[in-house]
Amino acid sequence: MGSGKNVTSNRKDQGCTEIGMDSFEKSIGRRDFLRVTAAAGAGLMLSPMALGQTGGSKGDDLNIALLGSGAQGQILLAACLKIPGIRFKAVCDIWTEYNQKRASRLLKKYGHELNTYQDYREMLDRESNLDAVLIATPDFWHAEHTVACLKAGLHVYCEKEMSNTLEGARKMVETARQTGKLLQIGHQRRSNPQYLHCLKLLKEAKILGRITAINGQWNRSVQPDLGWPKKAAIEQAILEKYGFKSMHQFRNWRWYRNLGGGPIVDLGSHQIDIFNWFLGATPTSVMASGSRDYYDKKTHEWYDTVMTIYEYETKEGIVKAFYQTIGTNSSQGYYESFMGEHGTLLISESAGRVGVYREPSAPDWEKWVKIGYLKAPIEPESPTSTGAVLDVRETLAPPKYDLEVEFNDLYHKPHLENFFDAVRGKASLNCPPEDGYVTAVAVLKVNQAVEAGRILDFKPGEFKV
Amino acid sequence: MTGPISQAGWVTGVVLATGILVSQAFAQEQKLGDVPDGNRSVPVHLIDLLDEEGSTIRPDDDPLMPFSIRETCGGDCHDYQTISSGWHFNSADSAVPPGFRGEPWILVDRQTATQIPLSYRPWPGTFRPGQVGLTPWEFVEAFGRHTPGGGIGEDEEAQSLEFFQRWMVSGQLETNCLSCHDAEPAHDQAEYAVQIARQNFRWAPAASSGFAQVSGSARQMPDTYDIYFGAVLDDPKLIPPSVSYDESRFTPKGKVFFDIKRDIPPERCYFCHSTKVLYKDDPHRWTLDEDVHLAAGMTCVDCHYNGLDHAITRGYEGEVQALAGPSAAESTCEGCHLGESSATVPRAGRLGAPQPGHPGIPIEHFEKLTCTACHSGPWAAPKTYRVKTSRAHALGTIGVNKSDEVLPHIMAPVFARQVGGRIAPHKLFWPAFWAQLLEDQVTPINPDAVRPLVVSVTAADQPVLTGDWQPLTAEQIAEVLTSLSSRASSGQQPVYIAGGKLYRLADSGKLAAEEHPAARPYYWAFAHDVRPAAQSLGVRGCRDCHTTNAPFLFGKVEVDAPLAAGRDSMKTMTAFQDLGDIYPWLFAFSFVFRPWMKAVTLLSALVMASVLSLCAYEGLARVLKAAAGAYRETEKD
Repeated sequence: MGSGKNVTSNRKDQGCTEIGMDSFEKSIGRRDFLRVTAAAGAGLMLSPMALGQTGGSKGDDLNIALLGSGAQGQILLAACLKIPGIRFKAVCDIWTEYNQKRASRLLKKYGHELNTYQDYREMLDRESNLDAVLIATPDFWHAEHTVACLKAGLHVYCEKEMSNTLEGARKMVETARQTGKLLQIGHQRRSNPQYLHCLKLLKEAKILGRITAINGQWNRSVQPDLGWPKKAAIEQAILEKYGFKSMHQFRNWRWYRNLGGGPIVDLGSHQIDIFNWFLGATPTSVMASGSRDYYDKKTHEWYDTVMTIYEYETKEGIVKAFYQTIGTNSSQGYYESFMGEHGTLLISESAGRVGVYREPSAPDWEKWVKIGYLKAPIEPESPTSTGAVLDVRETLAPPKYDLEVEFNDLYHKPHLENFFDAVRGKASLNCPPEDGYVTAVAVLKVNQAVEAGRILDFKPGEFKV
Repeated sequence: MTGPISQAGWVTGVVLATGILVSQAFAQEQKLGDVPDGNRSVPVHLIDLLDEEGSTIRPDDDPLMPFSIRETCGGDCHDYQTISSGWHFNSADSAVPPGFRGEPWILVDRQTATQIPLSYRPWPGTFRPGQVGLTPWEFVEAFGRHTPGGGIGEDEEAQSLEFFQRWMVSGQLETNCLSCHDAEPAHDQAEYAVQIARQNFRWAPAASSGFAQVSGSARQMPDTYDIYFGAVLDDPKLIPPSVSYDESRFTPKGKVFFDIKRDIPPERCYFCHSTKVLYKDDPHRWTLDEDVHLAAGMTCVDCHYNGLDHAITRGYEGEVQALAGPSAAESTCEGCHLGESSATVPRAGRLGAPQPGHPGIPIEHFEKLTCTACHSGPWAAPKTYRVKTSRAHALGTIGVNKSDEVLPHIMAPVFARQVGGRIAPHKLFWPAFWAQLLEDQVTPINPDAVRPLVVSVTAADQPVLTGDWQPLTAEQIAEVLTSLSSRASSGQQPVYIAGGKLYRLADSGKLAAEEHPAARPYYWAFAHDVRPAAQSLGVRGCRDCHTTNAPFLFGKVEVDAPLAAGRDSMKTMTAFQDLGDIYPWLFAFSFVFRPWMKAVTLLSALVMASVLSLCAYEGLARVLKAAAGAYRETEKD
């Protein structure tokens, strides 16, 4: 495309209780789902990596830059390599001796002719032919980077958390509106075919009936601090110029206040975003408890363990949502579980855990099986006698229905594809900044609730910009 | 005068400066460890460990990095680039003469009845890995276990696009000096192989060193994994590769001792260069002797030596054409035992090599046979033995299938004529693979691509513990070829090659077999183990080889194939010697009469001597008689 053109989101300014419904409304039908899945699988099998296509541009090709080529940036980069029509023209990272070198080496291998930069301002000044920028810098840089890129006339895909401050997040929303440029927030589950299918199960099929409770978690094992090759350390002056006190802080910024938001923001925002999206509502209050007594407090300013309870008021009634992130034990990994009067939806980005469990009192789900929303449960084989005495008061395990939709591609690829399609004017964003802002409000309040030690209420207009 | 003096001074200055610069440049090229001072003791290698970024490793680093051979050995002390151009690392370098064909890598897949000879060297009869669809990364993953790294394991230019990210995750498989030079008793090349299987390429040298432990697997890591980007923590089953060191091995200054030997211990060579002969009645290991040279206290590198360039001599006659310098000529059997005729000073008897007498052996034998024909390998039997080799059968690695039937099936000794005309002992196997035939050119099909078809036809999805062939019938082959035909590109015809035949569907739809160059057996000369002179062919006389059933000429070579119908097929050794069938037999048969001929000759000689004596006696008598008559006549007068 060469030069950026204004493509405005068709998204209406929606009330709190309608969050994400446009995504649902345009969500694809079952056959399309299956096609998406099949295509994703086939792509994985057959298509080679998309080359840089240096030999001339095609009409739909997009010139993009990667701003922040660390771990997350390179996950986005890897996904983009499998998306046709994407040309990387620039990589910008302050860690020139490692992140930048690694990313540019990889991209050049794939035929992308690109320039490298340490400072994003220089990149924006010199790169005149960009369509969009992917931002995967530390959270505290998101607002400044996004605003600058939008003002430079570029569409932006910005990793979550969209900002570590609500002020920054609000500025991002406002700038996107002012410039008319697209801003997609990297809550990639919103483009995941399995999540889209689950939304359909909840909203269209209302398969769970009234949802009364949600449970979500992301537990991780103890992790050492991130290191760096000593020879490739960034000069102190450069670190300080970009807001870091030391190389250790640069590498472990997620643990530092004013730079990131800690595990509840890094991990929780993915799943709390799903709470809001699937309920089509925003929380009315939050209470939370957190601790930071496992890791070194000097270098781990945020809570390694957080347990929080949200309360939602939906049209159907009150929903309690529990969420925990434990940074010292990986038990049960990560998932979201929606519990309703008719059943439980268990979903995780890790595709192997997805399933719907029917309550004994629920209406027959046969019709959902017949129209292809669910797979019939596999009848368990007759259990061999274990010698245990059956206690009739014990609740039997409910039957598990699998989804008809499978997704085995790179997690971020559909969300990036949605962004690129939106830039091309062929789709609307699955996570526009307004949706990202709602999640930021909900998640950032958890840390406040931990510090306050009491229930905090959300004001009615708090989720709007 | 001022002018000329100034000019001379200026010129002198330039010359001096140039000299200094040149000497400095020379000094820079010659690294510390590459310029010996003449002391014959082995330098103590107490050195810093460096990671691939060139940073010094200390045992309390977080994260701990595996040491990099390129940086640790090649940083200040040794010319890594020069060493990495050596024979063990340069197979993919098209500028390197391939020399006599050697042992190929054999891609084996039991389910599809496949064994394909592969090599990056253009040895006739082999296929380049890329022809079978193996990228350099996949090749390293499959065969890097029995290499000392380097070559395509670290050649970024050769790294294919679709696996480039995997290279970044696994790291490069650097030239591993320790694979050969490490005399550390705990050095574990089997652990090196484990790390290759886990795709932990950059961790493999450390894991084998004996003072580091590597856990986790790059195989399980996503394409975006990077050791500095943190662990994959969300699935406890996914353990990223990591290394820990035996801290007691670090001196207070953080240095580590490597027990490096210039003269490489044979154990290091054996890991990749062992041969196991599958004798029918398997003798006890302790009754088998080593090569006489090793038994006499020599090491492999006494003959297979090299300089800094690691252009190791393979030792075959004629190698001098592929390897510049005198070393190639001197390191052959003849070079040591007889001396090199072109040498300006006597070089025979190196390392105490005895000079052979070969009394009574006609000179033709030395023109038509290599030394190894009579002196190397197992004593020839009426039928060739099957043998296993380190590289073909992954010997020495953990979990290897020890069955005698496991593929590939290699036969030895096969006395075959070499390029150059001499007959030498060889190892041999019969290629077997599915392929596409286009204008008489055969291109193998990767077993992965044909496996579903073959398995569906043969039900070969069950593991066979022996690792033997998946038996195939003609009908099954025809069925698979029929399925492949429907997918073949225009002009291509699917074929199956096995047991020296090319099978294809005839116009009638039935399976037809024919000869084809691609179906010929692949064989390569070997030289070890060398037997003592008292066990060499001919030590018992001519009849060791010259009888009508002597294995050397008339031994049976197994024509090995998965086809049930042809599994007992044999070829006679003469088929590999270009001798025809009749002449060798008649020549050998002549030895039946040769003992008689001596008696006949002796008898004839006696008769002739008797006759001659009789004639002489008769003549003498007549002469005397005539003389006596003449004397009497004189007396009368």
